[in-house]
Amino acid sequence: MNRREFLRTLGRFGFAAGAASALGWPFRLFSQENLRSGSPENRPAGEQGIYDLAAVMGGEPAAMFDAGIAALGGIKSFVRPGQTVVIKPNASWNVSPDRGATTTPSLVRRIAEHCRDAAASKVYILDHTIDNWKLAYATTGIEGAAKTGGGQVVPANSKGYYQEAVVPGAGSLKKVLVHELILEADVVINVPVLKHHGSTTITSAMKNLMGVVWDRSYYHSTDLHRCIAEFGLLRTPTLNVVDAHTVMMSGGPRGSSYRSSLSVKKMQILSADIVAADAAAAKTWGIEPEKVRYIVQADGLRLGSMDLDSLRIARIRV
Amino acid sequence: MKGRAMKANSKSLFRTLRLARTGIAGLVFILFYLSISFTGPLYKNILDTLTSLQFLPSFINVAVAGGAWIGAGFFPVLLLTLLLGRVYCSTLCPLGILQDVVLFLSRRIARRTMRYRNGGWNIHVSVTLLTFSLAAAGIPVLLGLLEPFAFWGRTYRDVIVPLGRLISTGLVEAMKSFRIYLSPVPFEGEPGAVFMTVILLAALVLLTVRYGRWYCNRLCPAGCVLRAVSIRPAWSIRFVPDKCTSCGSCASICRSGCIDIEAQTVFSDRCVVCFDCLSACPFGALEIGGNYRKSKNRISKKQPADPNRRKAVVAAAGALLAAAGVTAGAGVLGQSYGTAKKADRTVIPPGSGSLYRYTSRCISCHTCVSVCPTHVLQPSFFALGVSGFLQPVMDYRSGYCEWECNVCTQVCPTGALSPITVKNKQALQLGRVEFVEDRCVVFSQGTACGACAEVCPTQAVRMVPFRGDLTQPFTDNAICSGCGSCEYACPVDGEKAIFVRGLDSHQAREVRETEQSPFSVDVPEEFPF
Repeated sequence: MNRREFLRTLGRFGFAAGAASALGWPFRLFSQENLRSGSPENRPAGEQGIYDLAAVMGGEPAAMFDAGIAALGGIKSFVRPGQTVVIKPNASWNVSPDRGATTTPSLVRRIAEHCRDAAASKVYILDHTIDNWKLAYATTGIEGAAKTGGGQVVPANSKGYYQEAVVPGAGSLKKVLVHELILEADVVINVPVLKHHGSTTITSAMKNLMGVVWDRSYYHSTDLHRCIAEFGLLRTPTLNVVDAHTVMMSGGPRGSSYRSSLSVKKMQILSADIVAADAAAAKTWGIEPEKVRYIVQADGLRLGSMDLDSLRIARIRV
Repeated sequence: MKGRAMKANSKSLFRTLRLARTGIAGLVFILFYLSISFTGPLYKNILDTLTSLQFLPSFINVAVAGGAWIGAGFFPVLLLTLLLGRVYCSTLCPLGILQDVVLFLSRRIARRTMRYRNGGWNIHVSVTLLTFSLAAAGIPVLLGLLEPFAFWGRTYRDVIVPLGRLISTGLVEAMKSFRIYLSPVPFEGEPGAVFMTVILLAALVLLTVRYGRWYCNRLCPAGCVLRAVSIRPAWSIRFVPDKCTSCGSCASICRSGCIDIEAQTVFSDRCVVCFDCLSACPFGALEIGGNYRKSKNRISKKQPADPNRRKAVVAAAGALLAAAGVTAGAGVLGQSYGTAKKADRTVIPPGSGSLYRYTSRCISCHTCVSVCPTHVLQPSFFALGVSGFLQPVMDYRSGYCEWECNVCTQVCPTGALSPITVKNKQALQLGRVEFVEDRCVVFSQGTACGACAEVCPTQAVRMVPFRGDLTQPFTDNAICSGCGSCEYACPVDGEKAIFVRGLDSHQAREVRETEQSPFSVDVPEEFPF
């Protein structure tokens, strides 16, 4: 092999490696094993901000996000250049955004913009809606907001997009069909809206992840609280942003103008720790985290910490 | 169109006419497909226009369901047919166009020879009178099976949509590798309905390939009416005297089998005005001519009294009498044996009003089924009794009635579903919720569920304290809309723990929602943690 051949062969190998990595091999496999990158103890030390949780109060959702994410070290500590991001809002219902049943669109837009600024290669927005997905995406304003923010709205209504995943160490949710982008994406940003829920009392970050699985009925018929908690054994989001600006206090989760009341709290909770985020959300809503069974169970599964006193919390007013 | 003598350039005129016919038909067919497959104001307008021009549905809408006479499509169609013959059948009827597509394709595969057949009036009139009699008696089963728009509508929903689903599923899968995420054509349905439509369509295709527009001249009720109107239209295709060599080129291509070479007659009642014969004749022996203009060249001879015509008049009178008898008989039998008797729980769609009103007006075209975004509308077999065969019902296993939606009521061509606003629909009670404690997860498993209350748009189902932190469903029938969200969401296998019992007549539910959501501003003073 002469020098020229050697260089040419080497070049080809390099090209092949580049192409393979562009297709996601083998790094995606690696990231699959490391799905729980979100929980603080699993993240590299450099990424851990000064705070475990940021609580913001007093502004509009987009402005509160700006302030909150800055306290957690900026979006760049969660999204690295070239990474793919999935934003999971609550877009479940065919109702207008002022009803407090779905995530505020301007917040989704702002998060997408931050991700684009951090040079994310793709920003997907998806939710397995309960109402017809086309209607729900449009009426909630999520679709428009996501597109304006530079995100790509992805359907989650067809079974073809769901892959079966084994949940390690689960008792109730042993296997689950999950949207493949949630399994594939480098970064998952969970953006629930805080609401009352008729059977789980509140719905927030963990409950919002029922919108990335295919069969919700299984959760309902097989110990709802346990399933909600155990999903975290498969994957917890990189970041949770709980929209608590306009909070439904009764008649949730869908709400109707009869028997549901909305409380404007102008708050937002940001944390990589999904259990901490939900514990703070519970307090914000007005219930002790100990009284919400899935929060207690998730804490028991060591998916995060519901003990807010042990966490470093940034409290920010805007 | 010039009267008698066609000039030398008539060949190209004929070709142009034929091209225009196929062009219009193709456009109409594509618009039918697009407007029913996609949503949006433009598609909605196109679909409205096309369906309002459907002859029998538009007639039923006006004459039976009390729709507006102005803008009713059957009237211009009647006028068009009086003037030009059955152009409707080859340019506006989707089933007619479908048959022409089948013929076009089959002719590309192999040479098909058509031949002249007799009128078939007896069969056609008998079938049609029976169809109409039963429909008038409130049993539109035959009408639903034979009416061409209904036949097409079911073909779309049961054959074209599933095919679309199959193809689009593959496409969606392929596009994933390009990081493009699409959604496949949604289809959800009973295999039974699909099976039936496939069988009927297969029969139609075979008949068409072999006998051309046989269906249109033997079974189609719209065709029968239009035949009667086009016995002598203002203009029609006819023989030019003394030019025909009896070569049979025209008859062998005629899809309606209506060219009698021996009698040198084109029977305009069966002719669907496809213009094939005009360009097929090598001798210019066929022309388009006015039938009511006094001709100088032709000797108008006084026809002798025709005994056959008298027989025909007598037969027609007898047939009408028989039809009246069938109508009355079927009506009486229907009432005493309850042909429209609903299975206990079955829920009839919004806008249908009452069971009898609905079953007597719906022709099972399944347009509502095709446009329903949640797939809650599904064809039934005998859930609505004999007279409700194939008519759509609310199937809360396949879906639920979306709160903010009224599209089914907006597309119904016969007015079986009256066009009601979303607000009016929300005020309706289609059925009432019932809760079976023993089957409920909360009671049988002792774990939290609440799937039913979660989705209820009216709070007719809500969760109330049970024991510990467990909550149980509580139902409030007065405000239930009967949308079936709860039944659809209930995770219990087999018989659900919560279901809607349909009403024979829709009622007004008690509306307790207010216009505005009750907001309260209570931004906390301090962080709550």
